[in-house]
Amino acid sequence: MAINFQPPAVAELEVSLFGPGTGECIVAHLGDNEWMVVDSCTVENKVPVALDYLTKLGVSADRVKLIVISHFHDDHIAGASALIEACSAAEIFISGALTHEESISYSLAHALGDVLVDKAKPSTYEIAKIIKSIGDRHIEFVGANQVLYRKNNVLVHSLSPSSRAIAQSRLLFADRLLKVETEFRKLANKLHPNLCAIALHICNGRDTVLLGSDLEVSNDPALGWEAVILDAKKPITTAALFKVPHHGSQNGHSDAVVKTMLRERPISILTTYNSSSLPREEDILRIKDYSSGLYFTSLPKVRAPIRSRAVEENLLLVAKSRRVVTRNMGHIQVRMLDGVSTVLLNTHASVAA
Amino acid sequence: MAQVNMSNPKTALADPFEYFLKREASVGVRRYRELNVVKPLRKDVSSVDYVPSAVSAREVGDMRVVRAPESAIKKTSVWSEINQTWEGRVIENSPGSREFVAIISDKTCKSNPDEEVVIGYESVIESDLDLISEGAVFFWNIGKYRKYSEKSGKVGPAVNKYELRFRRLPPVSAETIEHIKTLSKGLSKIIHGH
Repeated sequence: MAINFQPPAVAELEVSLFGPGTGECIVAHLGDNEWMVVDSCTVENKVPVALDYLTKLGVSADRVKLIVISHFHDDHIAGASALIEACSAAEIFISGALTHEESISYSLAHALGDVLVDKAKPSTYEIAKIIKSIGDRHIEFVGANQVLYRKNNVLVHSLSPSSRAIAQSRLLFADRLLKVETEFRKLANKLHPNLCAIALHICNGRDTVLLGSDLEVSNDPALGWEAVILDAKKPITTAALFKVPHHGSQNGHSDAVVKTMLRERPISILTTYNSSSLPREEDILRIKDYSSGLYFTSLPKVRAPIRSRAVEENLLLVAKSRRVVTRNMGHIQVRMLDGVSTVLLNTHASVAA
Repeated sequence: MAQVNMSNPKTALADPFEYFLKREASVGVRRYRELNVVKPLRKDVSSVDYVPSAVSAREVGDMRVVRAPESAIKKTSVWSEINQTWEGRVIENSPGSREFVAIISDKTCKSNPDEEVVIGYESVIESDLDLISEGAVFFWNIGKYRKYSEKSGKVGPAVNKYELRFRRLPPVSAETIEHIKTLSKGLSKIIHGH
């Protein structure tokens, strides 16, 4: 069924998940026409998809009350600075791992702007723009167990990153910064694994949502999902809607999360990550096994552009495999009211068979 | 031409330039590709210590050309036509399976969408293998290449060829890094309040 572009009811909780194949953005209605945006990706003309969607709903950008930058990877941050600029009433929350001098230095060193071609790669430029805007806007750093939003019965609670994850990331960023000074210039590298991402728990007293971001398991009780599970202060309501962490990958999966933080057979939604072919067949089977339904932002196959025969022949000599990176935005819209959930998809999103 | 004893630098003093050229050819001393003019060696200086240095235009007066620009005499094959250029960035490197995943952006027809390709290490020249890592940028040309024979003066047939070269952009300077660190410290202080 097509997406409903009528604004949700006052008490309705909505989670809209967007994904163009490599990218993720969540737009959530918390109630009373107040909205939260988690991460960002863009549609045509580099417009943040969250703004595009809110415009279609007829919701003013001023109704966005909080913007959460869960981590700095390219697929979660495109258009974030434009989004922040447009949503002037929103509080900005950034993973604590990105607010220390080591990580800020790393971002700034990869956002010098003196190499024009590098500007097309968003992550560090976006983070640098956001961090530099401090003074004009208040930026709040996020660790585990913080309340990011509270109104009436609605509570948005951060579950991660743990303090150990933040400390560890400072060392990693400092190490990477050393390489900036000694090696040939590269684009910013990802930090592996994703232990500094912000996972969120939303509850309005009747319905609960768990947004897993890209948080991974670690085999360390102080890091990743293990730290969340061991945290006795976390909210206790179990989620009926689960945004599966890290594109459904095995290293984002925790049995303990499924057993203790989710209701029996929740609705699971996820964004695909085509660069790493996530989710894989076995991931889909695993998630389906504990879910009442699995929905993901998938992409129709797109034909590669036709080039001259000589070019095609040479391309095939070098490239072992090849596919077009599409920008078709998949959209999963879930609305929840008093325990009843409705899931709607656009033409690019799909349900696991 | 007198024979130059390569093993004994003292005998080489008789003809230092001959010595330099021979030594370069035989033991592969560091090549100064841009160097066409060198200062004549003083007779009282051991050629062992002799390292040719680049000279300013003011100094050229009593000097002689010992080698024409390399590009003019060595380059015997050239691109005659470049049909396709991509700029790529490595997003995943798998040294174990000797391949990497990259996103390539079409620079020839910019309206074309980005493509994701898997490229084997065998397609990358030896000297660039060390540069393959996540975030590395490369350029990929496909076109026609023609060989030129210096001897006959003839241009050979065009052959299809690709070239994939990794970017070697100098690192960020220590001065810039220091400036960045100071700025970051200030910004972090504002966010954390200490």
